[in-house]
Amino acid sequence: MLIRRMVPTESPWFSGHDELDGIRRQIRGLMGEMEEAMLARPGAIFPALNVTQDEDNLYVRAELPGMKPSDLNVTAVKNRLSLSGSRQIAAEDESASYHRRERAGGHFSRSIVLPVDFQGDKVTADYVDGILTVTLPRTPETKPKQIQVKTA
Amino acid sequence: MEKQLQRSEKQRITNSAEQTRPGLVFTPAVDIFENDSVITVLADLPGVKAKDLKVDLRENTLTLTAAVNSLPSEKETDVFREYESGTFFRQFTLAETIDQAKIDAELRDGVLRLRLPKTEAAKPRQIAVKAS
Repeated sequence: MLIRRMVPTESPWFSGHDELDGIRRQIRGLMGEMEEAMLARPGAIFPALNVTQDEDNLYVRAELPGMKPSDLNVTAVKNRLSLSGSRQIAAEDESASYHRRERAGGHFSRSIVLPVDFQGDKVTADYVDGILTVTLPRTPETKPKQIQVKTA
Repeated sequence: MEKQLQRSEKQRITNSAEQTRPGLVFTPAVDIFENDSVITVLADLPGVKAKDLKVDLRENTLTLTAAVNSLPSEKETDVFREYESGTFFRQFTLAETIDQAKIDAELRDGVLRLRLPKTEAAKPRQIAVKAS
């Protein structure tokens, strides 16, 4: 199922880079996220993702046990992160008889738009204990800045 | 052409009686197969480290309990969340007797491979049928 998202770049809401820009983008991102969140049901796109953020980075995590890093593909372009890969379930010997077969192997491909800008060339990805964590450093403009309140 | 992976909900246990610590409990996906000499259990346990995994076998009941401790730090806030993390728990009754001393457990990349060799007495033996 391919989801094509229309992101308006010219709209009455866009007026250069004023202070509300970041908030508007967040809200638009949130609206986009609700769409993503509604997909979290059986039959939705594999894998399930958790996206979190702190002051410096965005983090995207997926549970992908039993994968080889060489079978994982992570690409980041502008504000879009794409994950794809192939999970191999090792073929066991033919004389084995199965009592349960719940683990699935196959192809997957998923791409999400992130609500916060990140620095594409500084993105890193770790695969530890079956969890893939992609760390996307935020662009300096998106980091919260403390504003000093001066008294006269 | 290789088939597409489908996402399925992580199986949550909602009526577990054994909970002694708070948090969500999930049933891990497993493959169980056997041949003449060994039963093998493969379990998907993403985020579990070997030290947090308990494999218990007593009186023919095999219990897998695994805590997930790799939770994000407190400084992180959710942007969106599609899956939850929690303890994994699953229990099986084994029909065969297992040679406990030879059990082999390996946890790699979130997948547990548990080899349970059957005792000599449990291995199937061809019984010669005499025609009289």
